[in-house]
Amino acid sequence: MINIGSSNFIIALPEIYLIIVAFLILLVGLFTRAADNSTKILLFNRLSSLNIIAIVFSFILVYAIGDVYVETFHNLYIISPIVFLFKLVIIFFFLVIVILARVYLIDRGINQFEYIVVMLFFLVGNLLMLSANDFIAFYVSLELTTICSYVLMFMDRKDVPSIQAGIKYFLLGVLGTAFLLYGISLVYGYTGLTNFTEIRTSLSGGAQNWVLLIGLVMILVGVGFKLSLVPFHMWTPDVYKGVNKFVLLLLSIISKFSILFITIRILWEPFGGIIDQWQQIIILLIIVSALIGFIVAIYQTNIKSFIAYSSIANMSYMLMVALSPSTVAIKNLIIFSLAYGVALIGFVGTLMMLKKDNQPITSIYDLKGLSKNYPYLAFILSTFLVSMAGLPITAGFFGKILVLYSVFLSKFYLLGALVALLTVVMMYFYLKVIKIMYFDSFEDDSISFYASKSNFLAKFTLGALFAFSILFVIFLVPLGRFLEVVVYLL
Amino acid sequence: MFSMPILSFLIFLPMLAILVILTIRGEQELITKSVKYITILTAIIHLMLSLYVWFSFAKGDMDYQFVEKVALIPSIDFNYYLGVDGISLLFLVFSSFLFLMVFLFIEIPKNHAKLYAVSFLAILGFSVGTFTSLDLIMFYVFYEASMIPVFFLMGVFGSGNKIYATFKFMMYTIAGSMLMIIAIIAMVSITKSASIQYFDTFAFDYKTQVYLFSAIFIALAIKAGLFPFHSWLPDAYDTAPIALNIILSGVLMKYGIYGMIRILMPMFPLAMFDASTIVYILSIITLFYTGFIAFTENNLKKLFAYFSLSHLALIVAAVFSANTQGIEGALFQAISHSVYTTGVFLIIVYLKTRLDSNNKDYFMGIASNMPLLSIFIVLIGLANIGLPFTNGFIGEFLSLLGIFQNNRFFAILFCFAILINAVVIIRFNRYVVFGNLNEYTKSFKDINLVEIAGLSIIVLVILVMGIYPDMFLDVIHASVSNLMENFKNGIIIKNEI
Repeated sequence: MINIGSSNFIIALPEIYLIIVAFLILLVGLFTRAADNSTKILLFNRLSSLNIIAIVFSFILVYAIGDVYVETFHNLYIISPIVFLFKLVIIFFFLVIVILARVYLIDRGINQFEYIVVMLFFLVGNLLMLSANDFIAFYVSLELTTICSYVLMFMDRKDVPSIQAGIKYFLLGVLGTAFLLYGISLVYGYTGLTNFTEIRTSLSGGAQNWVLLIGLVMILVGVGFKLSLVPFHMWTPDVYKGVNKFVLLLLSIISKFSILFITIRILWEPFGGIIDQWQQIIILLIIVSALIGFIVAIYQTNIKSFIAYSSIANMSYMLMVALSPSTVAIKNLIIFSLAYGVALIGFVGTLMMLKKDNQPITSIYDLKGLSKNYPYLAFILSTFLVSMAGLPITAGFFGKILVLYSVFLSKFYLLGALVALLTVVMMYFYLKVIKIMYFDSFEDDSISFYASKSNFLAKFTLGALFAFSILFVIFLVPLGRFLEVVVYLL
Repeated sequence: MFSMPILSFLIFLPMLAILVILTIRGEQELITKSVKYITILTAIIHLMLSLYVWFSFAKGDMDYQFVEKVALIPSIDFNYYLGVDGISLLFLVFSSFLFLMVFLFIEIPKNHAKLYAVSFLAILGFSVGTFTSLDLIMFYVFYEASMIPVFFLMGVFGSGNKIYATFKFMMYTIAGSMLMIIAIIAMVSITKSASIQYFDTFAFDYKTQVYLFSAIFIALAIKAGLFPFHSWLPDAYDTAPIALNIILSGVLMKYGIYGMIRILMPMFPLAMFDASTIVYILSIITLFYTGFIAFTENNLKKLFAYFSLSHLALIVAAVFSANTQGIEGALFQAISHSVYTTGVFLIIVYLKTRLDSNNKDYFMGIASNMPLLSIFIVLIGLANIGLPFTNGFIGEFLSLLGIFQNNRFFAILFCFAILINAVVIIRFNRYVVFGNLNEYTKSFKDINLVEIAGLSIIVLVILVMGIYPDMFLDVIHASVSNLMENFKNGIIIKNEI
């Protein structure tokens, strides 16, 4: 073990390693002469290969460090079985997204090597956030990820909607952060502490102080903005509509999931003692978000704004596990997030490969007649849709029933039943997309689809995601055994 | 005992055939032809294997046989758990038989032959899974998965206002199934087990039973088309391809009946006992309502859709009579209904190959030109009415006997209600068989050998079941008495409280 002072650097090795790689890529990029476009593309390609390998290594590092329980860096940083699982999920999704988006980004004219550097810092921010054991660490790493995502949006310079979305996201993100920071300072004002573990001990007897409660509410408003829970969701459709599909995935999967995970940790760890204070607020947020998310989603025709509403709705579904702390809830949350994330990444990843009349696919009606030109792609797309809808045999179904199971286990029967019944409404949308792909006749033969030539790795990844979605039953047993590492909370 | 996992094989044989079909390349005609042979071959092997299960099934034994168990999620006792008792066996063999009939006697459409065959084979596999699952979540998985191929079949191969009908069907089904899965998950969260055998003897308290019962009953009633939940069915029948009509009425609607017997009866006996009056009333309404609509309906497919509804309503009522005769009658009638409805739809196919229309008025007086088909129409019609020596008689008689023992008032009402069925069929014969020839029917040719073969098989099965019903009732006696015992134990617990 490398111990400098009281800090255990081995534990934070994945993040340290990723930061080193990011700087390395920055250096290589700066010192490589790339005069014309083709060399730039070549450089971008090479560096993204390096990027993929680096992410794989960081995954292995996280896995190798394992499910220990260590607090280090003056208790700012923590590794525990739950954090271990969260980190694996986030790195896995990030890896898949980067692999799938490689050709898409070059296709869109994004070939600056800085993009990869920012991307890596985004990942580092998320990993640090998951490991945060202190409000300061949480706040700083959250800012790292959000600033990286603003930069990622602004770097798509030729695309005006993307910049517009960036500005919207920036302004509302800052507003959310202000709430969050104010909440943190109020909590500090009451307890005099910022460390999760210490706050937990000081609040373990319960507390009725209104300063603390306002602080809690402010923190929830702040995270509500980031998670786009209703009524703080207004920015989501606008921003999602503007950004490119890669950033869309980063926002709707990586940021959303890691903020959800850290929210659950914040609710359970520092505020675990005052569970009766925040439970009501969370229940209210879940019901409102589910109502708006599931019902408004079916009226969308733009795929990106649909994903926005769908992520609002699914966040509310996932937030249900936060209601009462238990290891079963965490295990089932991981399974749900794997199932939903794989389906969404697969869906958007397939759309990244498709073009119609040399235009990217934006509306669901662009998919009309897809089953005639690309029957297999249409089948894969509909499998991902069915998995997102949560119909049986697909992964989404098992994720959904397992989350529902842990909600019922903590006796929230009405809430669980209400949210589950609302998902029926959204199934209409998924079925509609399948209908457009399969049933609508192909009137205009001049419209042609074009699947961009992507590398073998991307195709293989897509195939693996497809297999995971449709043959999930096979993965249930090994996954369940793997999730056994969660033996205790925190 | 036979140790090969034969039930899994019955589920995965169609999946294997699907993989084979997906690899076929070539000209459209070649594809259609080879797809036809593969499906027929699969269905024959499937039927032979299920007959093997039937004959090696130990009839007096109350336990589940051919059991297979693989743990999937140990913490909630969720297993891949298959097995048959008499009740499942009956449904299993007859679904297999119906699929063979569909593949043999109904032509595969030229376009999208692969999608067509793949969807049907998938339904075959899933339906076997539904009827043999001994795990509630597994049961639900197969139950719900069978609807996805139906979505494609109705949407791609349907006719008329197909998108509307498809979405209506799917939304009804999904809403119902969502209620069911919520109830199932609630049950699992209470007991930490998903095994059907475990629930057979587990007693929920009364209030819980009522909630769970209502949720699952609505889901199953949507499947069986009971009165307030029936409106998806006429539209679906009208637009669906005829092969799907056969499978819908012969297999998928029977999920409702099977679920009531397998889940509602042993698991929620108190709620079931108390709900019987409400269900009788709903069934009576369904019988009269659909009977009268069938009486005036001109669209052939819709006519028999409503007709099926009225038959299903009687079966549901017989299930809720909750005594041995009633349950056996319901089971027998469910199977008989599958068989003679298949006959009816085969006749409609044969009429439609001669004139592509659904309107009854175009097919008038076929007796003079098509004597053979007329004979079959009359015979199958008589089975529909429930004349002695046909299977319809045995089923209706036992069902009514069961209801009579439970509630005489309703039994008398039911006796009157099924008279409407007879009126509908006789009126149908009066117009279609013995009416005046019109300009269309003048040119009709009588059925050919293949068509005769198809209808003869159906009539043969009808007669065998009608004359020697014990062959089929023998299989279910032990299971039904086991079921009744569980049910009575459930009721006794209430009296003790």
